[in-house]
Amino acid sequence: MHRYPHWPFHVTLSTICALMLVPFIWVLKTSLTGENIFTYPPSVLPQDPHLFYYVDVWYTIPFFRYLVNSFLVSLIVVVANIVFNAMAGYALTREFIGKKAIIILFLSCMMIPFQVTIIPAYLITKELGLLNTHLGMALPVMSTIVCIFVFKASFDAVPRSLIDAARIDGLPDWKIIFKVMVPLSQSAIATNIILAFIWSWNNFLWPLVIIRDQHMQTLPLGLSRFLTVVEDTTGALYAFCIMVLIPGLVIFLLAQRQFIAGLTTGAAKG
Amino acid sequence: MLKSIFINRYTMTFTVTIVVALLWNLFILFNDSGILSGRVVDRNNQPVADARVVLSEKTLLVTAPRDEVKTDQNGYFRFEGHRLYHLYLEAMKGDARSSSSREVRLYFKGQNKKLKEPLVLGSDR
Repeated sequence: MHRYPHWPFHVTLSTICALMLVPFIWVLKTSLTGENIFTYPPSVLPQDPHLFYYVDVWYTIPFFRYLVNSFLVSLIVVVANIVFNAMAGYALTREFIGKKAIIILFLSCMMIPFQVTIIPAYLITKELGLLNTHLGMALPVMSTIVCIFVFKASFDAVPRSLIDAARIDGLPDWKIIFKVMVPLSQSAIATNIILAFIWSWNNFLWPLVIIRDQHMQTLPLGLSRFLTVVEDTTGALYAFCIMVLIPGLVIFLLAQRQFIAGLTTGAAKG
Repeated sequence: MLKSIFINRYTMTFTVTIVVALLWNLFILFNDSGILSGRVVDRNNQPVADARVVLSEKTLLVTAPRDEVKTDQNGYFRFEGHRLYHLYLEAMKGDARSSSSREVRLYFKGQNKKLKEPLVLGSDR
């Protein structure tokens, strides 16, 4: 078998990776120097770097409060996504009348942007008395269709005989889901955690609509508030971006292997 | 089995984060008395006694004075108990000599700091 040399691919891929990292490195550099983005010629390495813009961010707005709010909402969203999506995904692996119609309905709903449903979502949240609460902020993203299909693809890969054996042993459906299927679907869980966390973490519009109390705001709302109170925003704004970015980045890096496996489960089936 | 539960990249990452945060807060606890000290000299590097040193805070619109002390015989000054993290220092003497406003940035509110460079009276504003 003829083998091609690997180095041209590695060089090409490394170059592409470096190019894709440029914006991130630029943000990081500006957060450490406050350098004007129009400075010419641009410097690759930061000149006189310091961390004072991060201090400005920490004290100018109640950053820790916003951080806690964002974490609480993301925690609720992640837990709810795993529980509800696992249940929905398991249901879609079973045979029942109207299954295809439900799948088509789910896929159709994915095409409706959230902005279209925001008024009914607001009214429902209001009726539930969840305006201005963490649970209210989490409510619309507590189950997402993409993640339901990730679980479905993962559950489809579990041998049918295993489920039958569990059933013969007398396990009810909910125990089959959480004691048999979910432990075998670590990559789907990782995908759910990462996607749910990032969607919740970056969510701006929904918290903007339902939050009235300043102390209930999340980080994306804090960013908009920050822009209104800081005069010279360049360095501090970029520092804020880095501080918002880090938690999502850490979670993605920790679970990236399972995340990729989760997204590709079932891709080569058959 | 226990090792794999407690020593993995997830637990290690979060443990290290918590430990670093705790150590940083401990450091703050012992270094946030708001002590800011330094020295005022003239152009000939001679200490200036009895000079006024004004500590100001820059707000969104103006620089507002927050505290004021006088230097001792050796030109040393010392502020205590301020709760600022971004401040300005300016030294003045009765005969209208004044130093340029020195920007001082701190890593947390009330961080203790000793200025390495003295404030120079009569320097350009």
